[in-house]
Amino acid sequence: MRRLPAICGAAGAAAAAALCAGLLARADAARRPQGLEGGDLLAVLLGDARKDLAGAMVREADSYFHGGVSDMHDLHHHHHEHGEGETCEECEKEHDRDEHEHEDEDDHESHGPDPWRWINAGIRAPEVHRHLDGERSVELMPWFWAAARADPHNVEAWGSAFHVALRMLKDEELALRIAEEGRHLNPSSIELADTLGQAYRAEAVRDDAKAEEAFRAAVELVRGREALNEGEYVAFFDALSHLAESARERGDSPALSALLEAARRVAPDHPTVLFVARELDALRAAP
Amino acid sequence: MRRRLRRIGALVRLSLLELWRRNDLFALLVLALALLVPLSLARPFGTAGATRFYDDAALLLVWGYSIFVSLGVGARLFPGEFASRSIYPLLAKPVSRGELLAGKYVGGVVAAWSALAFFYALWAVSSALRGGDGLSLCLLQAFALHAVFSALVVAAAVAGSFLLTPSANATLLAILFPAMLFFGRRLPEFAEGARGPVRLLARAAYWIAPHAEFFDMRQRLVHGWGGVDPAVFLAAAGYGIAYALLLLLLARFLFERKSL
Repeated sequence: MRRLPAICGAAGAAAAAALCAGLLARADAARRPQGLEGGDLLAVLLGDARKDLAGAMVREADSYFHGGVSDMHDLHHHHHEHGEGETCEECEKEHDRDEHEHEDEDDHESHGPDPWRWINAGIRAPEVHRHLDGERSVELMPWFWAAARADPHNVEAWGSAFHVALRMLKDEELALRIAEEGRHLNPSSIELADTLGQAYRAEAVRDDAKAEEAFRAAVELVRGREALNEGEYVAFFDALSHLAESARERGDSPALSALLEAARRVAPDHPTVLFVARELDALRAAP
Repeated sequence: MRRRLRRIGALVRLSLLELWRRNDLFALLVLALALLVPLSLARPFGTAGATRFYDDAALLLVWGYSIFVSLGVGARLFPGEFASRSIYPLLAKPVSRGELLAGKYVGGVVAAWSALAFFYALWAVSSALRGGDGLSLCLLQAFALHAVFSALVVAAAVAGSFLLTPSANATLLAILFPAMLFFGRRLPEFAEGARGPVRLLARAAYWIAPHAEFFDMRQRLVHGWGGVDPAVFLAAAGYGIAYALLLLLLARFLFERKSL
């Protein structure tokens, strides 16, 4: 009888929490941009710390992708599996590279005698290294979602969520939704403009005009930028090669020429520059 | 011997009653529900089917709660008796200080274990309802190692209660155990990057401080790695038991020398 208030409290709290969650889910169903509302509150509460929080969540998603392994040092001498026991050539290569890197690290980084390493490794290292793939990769989404809520400007979270939705879950509509929201919240991101272009090229939601618009935005965003990071660099050339392909299909040599100029300004020796130049030559030589 | 066991049994019963009479556990349960119910209904980006993040969060809460309960139980075993002077009638009976310490400690550990079993049972049921393994070797090993950890925390709290004031004891251990749980195995890397006395301190802490992370099988449970090697399991459990016994010996030494 004395516990009745506590039990009533528990039931009340659970009901209130369920109500809040239901309202949030309904708002979510209305496709509100993820992170807009939450972003404001978190910005007030956490300030710039929310960026670190989002980064930590993206790292957690990476750990989930590796089947829960957060420290690659733990992966020495394990058997590597992909999916339900299948091996994956690409993953094996990545894994071999990791092992070589860690062997090198071990050579250079000796922390002295470690009496506890054996127990720690036994508890923390999986006997089999499994990557999440296919439908099971839905387990990654909560972390990307939380990262995007914590910091709506975390481009990596949006981009990775898009990649998982498109390539692993094979859900093109979900991928488009994520790309649109990410782009809406980050209009100056070259990577997310390119991502949106890729999303519109997916079969189920194909819209070439919108894809081209997004790719063009990605290329335009590079103007006036002094330096590009690796992701932006890759996104720029991806968007540019898509635009070059459609310009060639249209036979639009002025557009192709403008693209070649833009590509040369960023990296004159990039293979895409050579590709666009060849396409332009072929177009000009055609009768 | 039988009489001694009966005396210890009475102390165990008292500790159990004390824990379950307090509303701490129910408050923790309300907090858990308030956090986990919305989490279980979340549909990130409109997707459904992700369960591991929920299991992860629930197990993290179980760990947090178990540290809270074990510290609370251990740190309250003796200071209250000294403050209210009820230690005198206790020792006036034919009970030695060692027996009193053992009885109260076993009582505290059993009370902490009962709370832990309650939390793990809730987790296992919730996991099974969402298509998880339910009762498995990995879950049993995780519970067993967690139980050893709880016994270690209670022992540390009891030993600390003879050295420090109750609030200082609880605060220090509430920092130490979570810090070791999350950063314990990173101490050698930290020591490598530090200089002078900080480096020495980090190295000494790595060798001496209680390694809470040895008992943490959350990753194995959440990601379905399966149980640990029996030799590793026994080594981790042995480490925890030996550490707890050392702390109890220290507590006994301090209790014996304490003037009442």
